[in-house]
Amino acid sequence: MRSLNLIFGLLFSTVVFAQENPTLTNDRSFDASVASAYESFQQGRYLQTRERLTILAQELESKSESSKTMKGLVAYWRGVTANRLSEFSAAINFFEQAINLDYRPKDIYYEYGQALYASEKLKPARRAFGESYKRGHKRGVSLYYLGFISQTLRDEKQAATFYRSIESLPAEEQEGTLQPAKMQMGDMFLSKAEKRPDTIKVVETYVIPYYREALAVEPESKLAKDIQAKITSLQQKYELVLFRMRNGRATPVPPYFLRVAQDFTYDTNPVFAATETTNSEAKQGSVVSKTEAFGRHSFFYKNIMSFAPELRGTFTRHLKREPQIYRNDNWVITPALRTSYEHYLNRKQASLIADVDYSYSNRDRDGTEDLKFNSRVTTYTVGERIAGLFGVGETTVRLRHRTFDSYLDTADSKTNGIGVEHILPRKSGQLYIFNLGYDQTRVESKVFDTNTIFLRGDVILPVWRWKITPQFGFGLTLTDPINNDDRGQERTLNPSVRFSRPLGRGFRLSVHGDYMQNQSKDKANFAYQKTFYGAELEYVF
Amino acid sequence: MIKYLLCFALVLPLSVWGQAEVARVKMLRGEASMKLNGKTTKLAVEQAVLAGSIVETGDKSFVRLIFTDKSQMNIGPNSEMEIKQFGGEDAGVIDLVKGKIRSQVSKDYLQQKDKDKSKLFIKTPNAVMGVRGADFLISTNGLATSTVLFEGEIVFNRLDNATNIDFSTDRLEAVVMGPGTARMQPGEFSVQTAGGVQPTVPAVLNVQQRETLESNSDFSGSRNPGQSTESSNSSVVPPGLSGESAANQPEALKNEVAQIVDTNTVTPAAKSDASTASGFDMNGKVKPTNGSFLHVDSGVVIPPPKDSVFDANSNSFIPAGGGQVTADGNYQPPKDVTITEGGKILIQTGDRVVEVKPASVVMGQGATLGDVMKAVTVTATSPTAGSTTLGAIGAVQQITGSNPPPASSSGSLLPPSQPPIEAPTLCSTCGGAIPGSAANSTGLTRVNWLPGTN
Repeated sequence: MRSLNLIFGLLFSTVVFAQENPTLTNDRSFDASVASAYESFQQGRYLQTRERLTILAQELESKSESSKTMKGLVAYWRGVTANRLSEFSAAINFFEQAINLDYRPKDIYYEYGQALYASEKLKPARRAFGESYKRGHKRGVSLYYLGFISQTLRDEKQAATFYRSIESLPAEEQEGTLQPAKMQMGDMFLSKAEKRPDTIKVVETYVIPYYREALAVEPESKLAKDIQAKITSLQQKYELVLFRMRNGRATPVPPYFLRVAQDFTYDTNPVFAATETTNSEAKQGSVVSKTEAFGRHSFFYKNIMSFAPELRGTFTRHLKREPQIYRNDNWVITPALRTSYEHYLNRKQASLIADVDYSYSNRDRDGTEDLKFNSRVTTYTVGERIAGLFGVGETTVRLRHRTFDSYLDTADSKTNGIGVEHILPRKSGQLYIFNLGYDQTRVESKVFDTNTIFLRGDVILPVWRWKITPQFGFGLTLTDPINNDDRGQERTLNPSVRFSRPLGRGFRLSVHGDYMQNQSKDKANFAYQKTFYGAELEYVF
Repeated sequence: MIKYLLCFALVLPLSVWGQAEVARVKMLRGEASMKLNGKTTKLAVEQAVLAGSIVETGDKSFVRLIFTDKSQMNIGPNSEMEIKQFGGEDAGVIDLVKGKIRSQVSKDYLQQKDKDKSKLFIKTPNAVMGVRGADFLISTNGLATSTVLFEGEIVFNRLDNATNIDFSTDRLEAVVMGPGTARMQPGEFSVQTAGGVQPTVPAVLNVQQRETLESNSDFSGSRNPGQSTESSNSSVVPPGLSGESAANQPEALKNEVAQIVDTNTVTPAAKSDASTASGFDMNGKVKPTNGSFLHVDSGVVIPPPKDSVFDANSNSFIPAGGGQVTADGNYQPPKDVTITEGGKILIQTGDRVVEVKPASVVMGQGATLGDVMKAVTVTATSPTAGSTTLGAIGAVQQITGSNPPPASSSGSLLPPSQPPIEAPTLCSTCGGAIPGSAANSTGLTRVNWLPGTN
């Protein structure tokens, strides 16, 4: 602060004169003219104000007894009006007239400084804003002008002093200047860094952290978008983060994704269907609480390959404590590794994918309020994802092999399958997702062997009113229990709907509803229907 | 027989085959005509205008009609308007096919009993306005309709199939009071764009443009730069700072003036709210930024550039460059930009002409047309303007055209009447190779300005 005062001492030697109050006039018509000019000004009719003030100024000139103060007021006012009309040369003249008449209200140097700044008269503008600061008018903004003008004049040391001084002001005086001041500091660091041989290191160690500090001041501001863009631009320029693979496919930024969610659903018929070979029907409704955490981090080998280990954990608890219900309580932990090799196929962007998923679950299978080992499932997938195969969007073909190891040896199984997925974004903003698959499942107990065809279509519509994103879907599964004629050809129908809305700061709320019906000849063991609807709150880090 | 002839002579001026006189020509400039029952007659001062007449004006022409209720209607150049209905107990209906009307409608029109209903409807090919005593301007190019309110109250809404369907006043009232209607306050404007779902939410017009348009009620102003003695493209707002932070509070002047006169008797200023003044675009509702310019002929809205300072008195942003207001109150774009009557925005950059499609009229949501205009103005004086104009704005993809544009009479841009050949519309967010990115033989490129791309 001492250095700041020293700078002021050196830069500004203007003496602040005591302000004389404008005296009341005895001329009623003059007062009425002032009132009408003020009314025009207050209503933002600046052309009209300018005309009225011109007449007032002419009146004052014609009267020999006009006080200096009155002339000063009109000159100052004409200056302010000229500023509002972006007539900065005229504004400068009027403010100088007022100052020469010793008419110096608190904000005159601020307005004068703005006119000078807009006219690119930077050194006089800096003196004016210094005076404005000394008079205590909009101190934060005056300091920002001082900093920015000094920065423009390549006086970076002073610029930094002015910018830093904003931090020491009380919050109410900062008036939205702290974030831009920090951003300008980042800009100054950058211009210095770019002159050094170790630019990349300095950018990574000093510049980007400074921008991040600026971002943290007000992460949701309009300026925050510009600051984030600066960070991204630097990361791209200096290859600090990989943004695109060699075939142009965008990489996730940031490379990590972390999500936690809590869902409460009313399920009319809780069934633990995840990879089981039989369906246990509870035939009683219950509220189901499902807590989920999911994390993934992508790593890249040059711009050719990506590796994304991920981990998902879910805990499901039924709030109705009947054994038939809570025997479906479970937890599942699913680590996975997703890899991709980026290349072109017939000049189309393509990725060869190879994934391994492992799922381990415990369940209260005996209804004793004790979660015991239920199953472990390992799935190996290889596939190819191609962009533009069918018009726009991406098509993925997958081959998979799955082994299911149940607590019940007779339920162990192996599945081989093929699936095709197409994601179709439309110009109108709708996103369609289509899935078609075929699985052959061979179970230790041959009676449970099945061949399955599944189809599913989902559409995510553009954001509706109140930022709501609707999603509608329909799934159809055709199961052929090849060694069990009692079951017949089974069909599972599953229409679903989901409406989600961001709540800000990473939170999102969704409400959803599903209906599921499994049609089977073996009504006792395999036919069931259920409806579940609920709400989910998620947070993405 | 003489009695009958006398009666006929008295009645004839008032009514021709049951069509009563509804207005009289009080002022005329240039050429104007009236069509009625297939007959066209040239208009003259003091001539009676009958219900059902179609009034047409020529280039640089103007007609002032005074209606039977003392309402005044000034018809601007190149306009066509039909007086569908006026007089009687129902509200009047005016059909503005093209052009501009500046009107001061008497509040006492027909002394209607229901004061909450519109006294006059003005319909255009895509919009309808209900007037309840107001001073306003309405303009249409046949595709878009824009309106500016100076005093009083109007409601303004979209109208489907306005050309072919003859609406009753009850139907028109239902439309103007229906969903999406723009209920305007003095100083505000609204635009119903071609194909727009609903008119823009009323926003405060640029302060200079409002005053200039208001004082130019007889369309006499020229297209030369207007009343501002100096036009600056510089902003008082340094980069990084918001226009709201840079704004100076008007209280300082108030304190000074309060020492001379009682400022409490002065009509309070407009309610100031910088957050809503920035405009919004959500759930199908679009409110342009307060302080936007309006290109009256085409209905194109030019928001203030993002470095504009906020003015609490007018509750609007004061644009820092990017065009100016002409003496007739229209918006004049920077030198290298043309806005055609059909609403196309053409920018000459070096040897190319680029068509710009603005996507946002909201400050801070991507590059707005105001930012484009500003960038064009700033780079126009630069020796590398052609290549830097668009680059300076950033986030623009264009098809490279190397040939010069077709020469126009001014040697600058295509004349508005000559439609340019358009290149395919591009999406700046699509990424990857641009289909058809070979040189365009006309040198014309088309740019899609998408929000959030700068």
